[in-house]
Amino acid sequence: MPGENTTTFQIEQLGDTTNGQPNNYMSIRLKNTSLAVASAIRRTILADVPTLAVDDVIIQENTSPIDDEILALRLGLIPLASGALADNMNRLKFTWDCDCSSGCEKCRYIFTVDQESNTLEPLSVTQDHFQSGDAGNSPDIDPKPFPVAPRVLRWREGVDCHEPAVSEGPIVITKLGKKQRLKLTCYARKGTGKLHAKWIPASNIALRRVPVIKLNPETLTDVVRQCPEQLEAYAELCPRDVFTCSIGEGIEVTDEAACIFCMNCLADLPDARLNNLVSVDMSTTEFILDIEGTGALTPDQMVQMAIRIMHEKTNAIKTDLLVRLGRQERHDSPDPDEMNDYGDGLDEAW
Amino acid sequence: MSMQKTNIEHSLDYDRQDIYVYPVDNLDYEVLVEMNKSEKHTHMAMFRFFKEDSTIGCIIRDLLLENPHITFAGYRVPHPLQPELQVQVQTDGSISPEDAMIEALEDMAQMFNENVESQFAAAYDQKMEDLRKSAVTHVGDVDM
Repeated sequence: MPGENTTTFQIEQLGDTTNGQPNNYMSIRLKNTSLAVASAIRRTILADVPTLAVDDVIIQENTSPIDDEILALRLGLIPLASGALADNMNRLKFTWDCDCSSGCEKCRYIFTVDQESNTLEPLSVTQDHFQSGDAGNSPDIDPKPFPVAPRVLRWREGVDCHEPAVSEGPIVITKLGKKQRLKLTCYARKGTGKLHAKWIPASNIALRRVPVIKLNPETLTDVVRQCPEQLEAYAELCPRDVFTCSIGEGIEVTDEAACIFCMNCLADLPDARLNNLVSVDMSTTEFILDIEGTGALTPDQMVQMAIRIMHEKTNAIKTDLLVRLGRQERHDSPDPDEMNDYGDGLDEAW
Repeated sequence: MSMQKTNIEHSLDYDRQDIYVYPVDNLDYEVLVEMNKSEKHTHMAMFRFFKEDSTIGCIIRDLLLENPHITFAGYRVPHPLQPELQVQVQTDGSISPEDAMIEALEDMAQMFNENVESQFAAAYDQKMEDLRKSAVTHVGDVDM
C-alpha cells in the first residue's frame, strides 16, 4: 500500500554549478515508485509548473528589418529566470487570478528595450539590452527575473557532472542599421506549459526504465568449461559495454545502467551454448528521469514544484468530491443562492 | 447514464486558460469532479475529472487496482481536445465506488506529501556537498 512505497530520490548527475551558475541539467533515480508516479512528475513539469515569459509586447518604435509580430514571437521565446516563483508560486499571480482589470505589479513584470544604432556596422539587439526598472515592478519579486543566456552542456565521459557549460552568447532579437531604432515594452506574465510552450521550464525531459541484467550462474559455469573462447566475442556483442570479460574467470556485468535494451545479448548468438547466459529485465520500481532546463528554473526547483502542485491538485479534487457527496463543507462558502443552484443541477445528474 | 452539461461544455465566452486551469480564488464555483452512478450495475460509477488528463488518471487507476475490493478500474481521455478524464470504477459491493475513489485520492496526496519533497531536497543537498568535496580534491591535485 502507498504508505509503504514512498518515492525516494537519488541524484545521479548534476550540471556544472561552478562560477555561481545555476545548474541546467539533472539526472534523478526514482526508487520505490511506480511508472505512473514517475510519469506524473515528468508530465507535471511539462504542463503545470509555472514560469515567466514575455506575453505582451507594446512596440513604440520599430524601424528594424523585422516585423512587429515576429519580434513579439521571438521575445516570447526568450527564457526568463523565474526563481522568484520557486519557493512561493503565488509571489506573482496568474493574470486571471488577479483582482486588477488590465495588469498590475502583482501579475506582471515589465522589461523595456530601447536601442538605436548610430554606426554603419549593424547593431545586434540582444537579450542583454533588456532593462527592468523599479517603475511598475514589485520589489517582492525576488530574485529579479532576467533573460537567461543560452548555455550548451558538454558531456564528459566517466565523470559525475557535465563539462562546464559554454555560453553561446546572448540571444539576438534583431539587428539595426544606421539610424534604425527599436523601442518597446514587454510584459512578462506567469503561465504554464499547458497554455503555450514558451512557459515550459524544461527543454528536454526524459523518463527511462532501469535495466536489471542477471547472469545465469549454471550456464556461465558450463560456458566457462566448454567454450570460454566465445565469451570475449559475446561481450563484444554489447554496443554499450555492459559486460567485462576476464580470461579464465568468465564474464561479469560491470555497467548495468548503460544498457539500452537492444537485446543483442539475447538474439543471434554465435554459439547455441550461450543461450540463457544472460537475462535482461526492466525494473518496475526504479526509473531514471533526465531533466534539462531552459534556464527559467533549475531542475531541482522544477521537481519540488511538481511535487507541490500534484499535492495541492489532489487535495483540491478530494475536497471537491467530498463536498459533492455532501460529506464536507467548503471552508470558504460562497453565496448560498449560488450553492443552491449548483446543488440542484447535481441532484439531477446523480 | 445521464450526462450533465458542465461549465466546460458551454465555454464559448471563456478565456483560453479557463479551459485548462483551475481558478485559484474561485474554486467554490468550479466543478472539478463529477460522479455518475451506473444504471446497469449497482456498484459501478463513472467519475469525470474536468481539466485533468492522464497525469493523475494513471495514478488513480493504479491505486484503485491495489484495493482488493475493486473488480474493475480503468481510465480514458475521451478526446485530446476535451480537457476531461473519465475513470470507471466497479467494486465487489463491500465498499462503494465513491469510498474507493476517496481512499485512492487520499493515498495519492500521501504520495506527494511534504516528506517526499524534503527527501528530494535532502538528496539534492547531499549531491551538492559531494560535488563540492570532489571539486576541492581536484583543485588540490592541480596544485601538486
